[in-house]
Amino acid sequence: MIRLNLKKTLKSAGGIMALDLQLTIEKGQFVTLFGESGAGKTSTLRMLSGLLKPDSGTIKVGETTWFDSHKNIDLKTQLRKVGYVFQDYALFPNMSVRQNLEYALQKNQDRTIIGELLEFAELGELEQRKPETLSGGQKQRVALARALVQRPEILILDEPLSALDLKMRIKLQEYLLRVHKKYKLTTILVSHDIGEIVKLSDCVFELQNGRVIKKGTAADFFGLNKTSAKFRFSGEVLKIEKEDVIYVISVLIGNDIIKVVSDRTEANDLRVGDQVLVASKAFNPIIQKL
Amino acid sequence: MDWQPLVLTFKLAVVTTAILFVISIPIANWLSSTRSKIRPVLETLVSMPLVLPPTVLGFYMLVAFSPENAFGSWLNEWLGIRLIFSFEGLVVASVIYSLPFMVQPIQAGLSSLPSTLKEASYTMGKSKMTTLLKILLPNIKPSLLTGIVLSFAHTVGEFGVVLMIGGNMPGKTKVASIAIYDEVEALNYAAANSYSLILFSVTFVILLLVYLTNGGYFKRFAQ
Amino acid sequence: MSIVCVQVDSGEKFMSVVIDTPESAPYMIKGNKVNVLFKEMEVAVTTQKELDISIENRITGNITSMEEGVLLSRLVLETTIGEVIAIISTMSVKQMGLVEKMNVMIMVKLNEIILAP
Repeated sequence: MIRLNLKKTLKSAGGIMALDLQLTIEKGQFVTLFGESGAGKTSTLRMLSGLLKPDSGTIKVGETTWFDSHKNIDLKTQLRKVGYVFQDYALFPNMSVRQNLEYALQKNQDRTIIGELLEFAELGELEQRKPETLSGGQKQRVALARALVQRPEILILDEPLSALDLKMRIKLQEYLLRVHKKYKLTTILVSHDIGEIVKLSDCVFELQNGRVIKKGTAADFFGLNKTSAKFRFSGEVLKIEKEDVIYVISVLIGNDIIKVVSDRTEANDLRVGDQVLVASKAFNPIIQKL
Repeated sequence: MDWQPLVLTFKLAVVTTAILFVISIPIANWLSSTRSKIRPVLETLVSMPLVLPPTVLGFYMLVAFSPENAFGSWLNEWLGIRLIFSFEGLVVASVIYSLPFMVQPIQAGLSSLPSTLKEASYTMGKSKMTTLLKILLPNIKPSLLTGIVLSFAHTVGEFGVVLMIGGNMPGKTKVASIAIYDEVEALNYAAANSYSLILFSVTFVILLLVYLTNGGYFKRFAQ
Repeated sequence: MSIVCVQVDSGEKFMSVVIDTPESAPYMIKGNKVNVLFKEMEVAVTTQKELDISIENRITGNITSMEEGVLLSRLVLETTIGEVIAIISTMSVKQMGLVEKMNVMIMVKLNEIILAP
């Protein structure tokens, strides 16, 4: 279990923000921090990993205290050993894919994990390539594999998929889930993509101005459990067209675009780009073998 | 022609550059990562030789290192080092005089690297030293090369400081730039020309190699 | 699977078939408040009040306004459960001779009713 109790005054472009949050994360959970940019999500992750020092508070992981301002405990980043996947991947440009992974090996660590991770991340053919020659999705896989070399118990993902196209995102989301389960990690994700959050996380914390304003299971959090409808998806409004007396709303769900007919009472509330829930009774769809 | 001043010049440049390389990396690393309040003061001190007349620097070093003063006599009595009118003195003066030419490129190179590189290394349990040697420095090779070459070339070309602190002692402190001055004074233009031409050519070739290696020069103009 | 009978505030009863059972969905307790949702497109309209047809949910109401499109028409009805919107084909509107202020019955099949706790 990870218990965070952090206070920190942060200076940003928008002025000064007083971060003050309490978070409890169960071991083995996949947790998402959600919220506007500048809400303190990345700062929270940096404080957990020791890259940023809180003004006061405590960080406890399991039975170990990583930080305690009263007892003057501040475990070095090097000793916290969290797997951290940065938004810009932070691959070492002077090293090949394999060397990037090997660098992360700990003293006397069994080297077989390198081969295992290269294979798991489907990087075998790319292992001699330098990072600059890789595509975004490939870089992401290297960064993730590298973060796992030291066998961390906590994996931190700071908007890991935001720079990728949709197809690659869907593929890597599945990959993240597999990694999370296979290595029995406690994973903390920062993401803005509701579909992604619902798909991946057990629990969501919403941050605003440095405080937790809402938490819950992913499905509860976004109100997806609020109807008995079983045929439901979340997606993004792409287009709203008026046709006759009705409106046709195009919604992007995963990599499919679906169309939903709607009355103007609902259509008037919607804007292109809105995140929406699309639901129907399980009794209505037809199903056919392909 | 007397080759001794040329040999002395390049010996001085090699020794100075080597010492500068070793001491500038920690200084540049500290400057590029610290948020300390004394950072601007240290940056200013490092940059002073860029704008100060070399004679000013030479004068103060002459005064400080003179055995008639406290510091100079302490050096002389306890360590047996005489820094004025000696090769060692020239090295010390050159190191101080060329410091910004080594520190600034390295500092700029380190600052240009995304901070996530070293943070990623720290999260993997790697020490600051390991991170510096294996991640940071290998990724700023062009900056290191620029620093080395600029310091070398600057040391080859220095005159004022050398004259002030080293004087003109053949085989000890008479470097090429002093020799040129000497020959001109003696109206021996042919010898002055030989020294000058060699210095000119060597400096030109070194700088050209840097630009070719770092590539940026041709890339910029090819666009 | 369950068939749930919901009494709305005005006293009318709605039937819904859902995949959940009281074991799988904690909200399914007698007396618990739920919202009843159905799609405008799924509302059928008839002028005959005593129809022998397998549509369980029926409410009478008056047409308060009508908007005729080329293919579809949008009817706003005033009923005991409040305002209901029905979208039906303009063809049917013409054939049935529907006009404003007319008293009609609206019908929704039980598999179209979504319950929202």
